[in-house]
Amino acid sequence: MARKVLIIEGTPAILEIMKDVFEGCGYSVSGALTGEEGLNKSVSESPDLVILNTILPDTDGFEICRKIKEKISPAGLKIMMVTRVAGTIDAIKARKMGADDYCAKTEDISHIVKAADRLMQKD
Amino acid sequence: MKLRTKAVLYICLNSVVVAFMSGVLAYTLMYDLRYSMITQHHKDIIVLAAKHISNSLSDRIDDIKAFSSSFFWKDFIIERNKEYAGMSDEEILTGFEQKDKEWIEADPAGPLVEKYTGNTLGRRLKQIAEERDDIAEIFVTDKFGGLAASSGKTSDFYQADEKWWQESFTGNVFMGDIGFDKSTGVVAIIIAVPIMDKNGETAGVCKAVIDVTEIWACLEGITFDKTGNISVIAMNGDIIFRKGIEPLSRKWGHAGRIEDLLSSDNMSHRLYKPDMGGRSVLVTVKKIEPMNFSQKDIEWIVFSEQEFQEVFDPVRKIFGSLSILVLVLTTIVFFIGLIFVKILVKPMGILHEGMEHIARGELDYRIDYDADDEVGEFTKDFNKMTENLSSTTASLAALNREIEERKKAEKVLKESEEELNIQAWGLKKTNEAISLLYKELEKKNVKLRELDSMKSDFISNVSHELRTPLAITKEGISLVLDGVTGEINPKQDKMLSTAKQNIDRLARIINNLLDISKIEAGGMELAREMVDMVNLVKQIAFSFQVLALEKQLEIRVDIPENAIDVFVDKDKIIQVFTNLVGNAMKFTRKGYIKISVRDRKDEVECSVEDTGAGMKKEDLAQVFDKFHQVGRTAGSGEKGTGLGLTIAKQIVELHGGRIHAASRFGEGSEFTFTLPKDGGENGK
Repeated sequence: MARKVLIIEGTPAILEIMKDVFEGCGYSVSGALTGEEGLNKSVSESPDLVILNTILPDTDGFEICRKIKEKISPAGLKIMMVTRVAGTIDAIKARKMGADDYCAKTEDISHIVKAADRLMQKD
Repeated sequence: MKLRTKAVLYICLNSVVVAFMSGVLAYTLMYDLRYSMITQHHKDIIVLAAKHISNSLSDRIDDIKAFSSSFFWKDFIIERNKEYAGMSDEEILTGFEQKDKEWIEADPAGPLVEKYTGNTLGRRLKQIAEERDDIAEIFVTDKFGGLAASSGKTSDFYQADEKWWQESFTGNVFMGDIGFDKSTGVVAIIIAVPIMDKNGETAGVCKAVIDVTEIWACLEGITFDKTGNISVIAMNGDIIFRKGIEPLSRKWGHAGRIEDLLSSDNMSHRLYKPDMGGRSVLVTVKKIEPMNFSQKDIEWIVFSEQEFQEVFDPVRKIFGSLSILVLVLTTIVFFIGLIFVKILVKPMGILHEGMEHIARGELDYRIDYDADDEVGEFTKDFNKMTENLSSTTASLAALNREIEERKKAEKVLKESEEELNIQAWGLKKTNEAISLLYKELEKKNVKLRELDSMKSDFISNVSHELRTPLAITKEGISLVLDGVTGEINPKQDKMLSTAKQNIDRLARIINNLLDISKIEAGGMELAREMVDMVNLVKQIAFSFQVLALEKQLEIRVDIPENAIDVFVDKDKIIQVFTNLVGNAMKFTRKGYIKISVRDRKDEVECSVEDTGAGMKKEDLAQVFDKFHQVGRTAGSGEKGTGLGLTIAKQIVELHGGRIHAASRFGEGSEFTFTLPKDGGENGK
């Protein structure tokens, strides 16, 4: 059964690209453009993995990460936070908010897929 | 259960058990004692009674024997027997029959009776009967059974047909069963003894009717308390004697048990119930000893009876008193026990209270009980123990505190370890991310650089291509202006002059662009030599002197006295100064332009200061960018290319130096650059 992944990404174009790539790698993908939408979908669709941007149009990605981990049992749901502005303080913050991984969001997202595969294999 | 309750219960139980046991023991002992005492008493009396009866009877027999053995009696009988001499037996019997008839009808006081009672022996017999209360009647027969003498009128005259007579006549003493004697009207025993003559032959028989009342007389006095009495019965159970009962009038209630009573022992005690009156009785039995005074002994039984209840009444009374005594003693013992328990338990209470204090953690508490007993010893030991405990607890508490602190420290350490782990994780992830982003950036940079060089190449090529036609055009216009091709009117002159000025500007732009392209493409070579900066500045100041006079500006020079030698490309540095001073000239309307040189150890610091328009902050940041022109309209005269400061910066940096601008809007600007004296890294 295909792993469900929810991508929360504020830029529609990037979201579409990421969706395409993940689908191509055999994931069942859904997307959310805002933090609020992502939070709702993470509850309703119960994905295996959430790929969450640190910066979102409506809210802070870290806050959404904390809320998702609060609402859903930590077991069985992995959160990967992605960013274009990587920083140690952000990475630590992500970890403390419950993120399972922290990756750079480059134009080539193959490494994100690889990281996702690794996270899913750990189960 | 509390110790006190236990002790009280123990005392209660003890008291009850002791009371019960002593009661049972006392009762049993008293019962046995009373039983043996009373039975012994009964036995003693019965033995005495039996002996008395036996002796009485044998005394009577002895008496009768004694009477009949007197010579007077014997002679009288022998004389009497002589009367039958010559008479046949028939004649004798007939005579007796005749006599019997006469005797029965005879008056007791009449002559016939008088003949026998009044004769010498008769008188003696009468005397005996009168003297002796126990002898109701006594008479003597001859050897044929005829009456010889009597104390009174007998029932018959002829006695030979009687059993007693026949028995006695054979020479034996006869004693009959007790019975009612008709002639005397009393309950009596018949005793008959033979009267012997000198030859030892029976001459006659003496019969005495013994009134037993006399014998019983002494028995009548014997009683045991209220219900006890003594009785004599025959073997068939007929009561021979019992106080208040007519002899032979009834049988003994336990007659059926006589055999049983006598079977085991001749002295038996039995408890029978119920007897007359329906009460249990204690019975003691003794058979009267055989007396061997006749062929047939009397078989009488003497026994005592007493109501069981009465026998053991003293036991009950004593037991009752004893019970009360035991109860009282038990109660006293109980209360003494209670007091004792209270005394005993009190120090325990003190101990308990003290222990509670200590259990609450008041380890400085000491139990105050200083008695010379076990509890006192215990208290001492306990206080000592508490002291030890107190010190141990103190060290234990210290240990606990240490453990607690260590735990805290461990926790903190663990937390910080976790924190460190998170931080390490964050660092690692950040490194990974940054490295990815950096690679991406690098790729982009490479692309940009490629683009840039393509642009520079383009500019360089274009500039070269532009320069040639521009030079030809300029040459042509110059020739026309100089009048080589003929006279030109002033209007043409002015137009051509303007065209030439613009061609010059275009040429300058192209030159500058070429310079920048060269620098950016790394194609500019520095021709370094030792240059005296002080002298150089003097030359620069001098070259701008004419222009300054035109614009009514003052050129100030601030230089040290000594020369400052710097290893630089002289032409390029002149270009930097030219650009900076030219720029200052362009934006300064009045005031001065100051050029300074200062020795800064390994470096030389040069600056160009003006009192011009100055720049806003946002402009200041972009002042060295290509084609950036500050206040395009502010300037006068020749228009700049917008490349001067860029070139200046690039040249300074190419020499390993730095340049920066400072300005205050409306007051003026100052451009300062430093150059390493030895030419910097690139110069080596």
